[in-house]
Amino acid sequence: MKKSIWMAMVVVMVFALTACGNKEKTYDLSQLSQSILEKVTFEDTLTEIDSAMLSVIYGIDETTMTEKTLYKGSGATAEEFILLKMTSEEEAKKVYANLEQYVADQKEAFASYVPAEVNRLESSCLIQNGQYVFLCVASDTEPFKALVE
Amino acid sequence: MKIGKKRERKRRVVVFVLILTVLSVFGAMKWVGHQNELRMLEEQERIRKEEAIRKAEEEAIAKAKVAEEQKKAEEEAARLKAEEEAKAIAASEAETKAVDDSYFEDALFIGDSRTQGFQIQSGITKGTFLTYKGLNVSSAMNKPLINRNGKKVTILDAARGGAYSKIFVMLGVNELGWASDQAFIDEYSKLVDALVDAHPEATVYIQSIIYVSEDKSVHDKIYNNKNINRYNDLIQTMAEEKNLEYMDLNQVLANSKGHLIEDASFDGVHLRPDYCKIWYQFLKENVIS
Repeated sequence: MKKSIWMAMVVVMVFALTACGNKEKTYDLSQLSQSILEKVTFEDTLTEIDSAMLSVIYGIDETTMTEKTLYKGSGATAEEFILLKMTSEEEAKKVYANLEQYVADQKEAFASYVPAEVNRLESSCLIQNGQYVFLCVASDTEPFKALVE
Repeated sequence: MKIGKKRERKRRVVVFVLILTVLSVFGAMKWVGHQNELRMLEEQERIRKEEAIRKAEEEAIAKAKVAEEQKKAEEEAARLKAEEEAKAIAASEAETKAVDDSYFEDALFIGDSRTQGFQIQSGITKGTFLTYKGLNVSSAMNKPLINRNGKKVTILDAARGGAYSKIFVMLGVNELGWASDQAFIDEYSKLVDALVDAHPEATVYIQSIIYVSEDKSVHDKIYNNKNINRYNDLIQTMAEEKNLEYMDLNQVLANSKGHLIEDASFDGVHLRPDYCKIWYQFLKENVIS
């Protein structure tokens, strides 16, 4: 009996992993950003920022991105979201690491400035899916996750 | 019989005299009444005339007042029109002489979160920005905040590293709670002196602290416009003493009551994109080209 349960679990795991591996989802970043603005609650008013700022603020090489969308607030809060499609999965992994560091730096900067924003940064959601990298900083990022996943 | 007649005559005389007296008194009373009536009529006539004169005078004064107010309104309208025309001409001239984005190619901006917002939302595409949230004149010199080749350095040390011909500094809002004004301006002076030492050929622009919103100013004991005005006076004096360029950003970002324009900010401090653009336009029109 026990053996058959284990077998069933292994089969399920294999199917699950296979499903994840084959998942090469594509996104319409423009449409996704509109959905995020509608579904995710932001305290500040987010506006689309010139994508040239991506290299300035996040240190991302312009040539490694094929699609990019950046929305930020006025600076009063840490709220923002970034949607990127990189030239390769390798580049996406690098950018993921960059953005992890960025969030850590933001936490440090806000800790002595507006400590309440650190909680918001703790709730941030960073996702890499193939060539895509998504970051959202908001109090509740569950709607963002649902949209991306 | 004679005595009776005499008495009768005497009685009649008395009665006659009495009647005469009564009639005289009555006549006198009527005369007095008539005189009073005449006096009253005269008094009424006099009052009526005075009233008419007063009314006429009042009407004349009111007419003169209306005419004067109309004249003043016309003069004010003419003055405003002339002012608007002058402003339009000045704006047009300023726009004409405004530099373009390329001017900021070799510019360095030092500031706090407001300057971060300016970098992201004003539309500026050139320049080097050394900014940090909550930056103050002291932490800019003493706190390693900026990553340079994997190592954290101070803003001042990072500023020493590049080659800049224009330096724009805006600091002060995070220092409003400091206990000593003197300590603030002394530290600011030290920072500016160090920047001038590092870049002696550069034009240094010291920007005023931008006001906070009226709501923020009224409810905040520290971050209010009374304190900002006091600090800006110190900053302007420092800039003038050091022969640096002082730029009063509140010329374009404040309302007539001396507060940040109400819809310019979400939290009363950080500027929305449209107002970052106004800030940028002001710099472009007021730098030394």
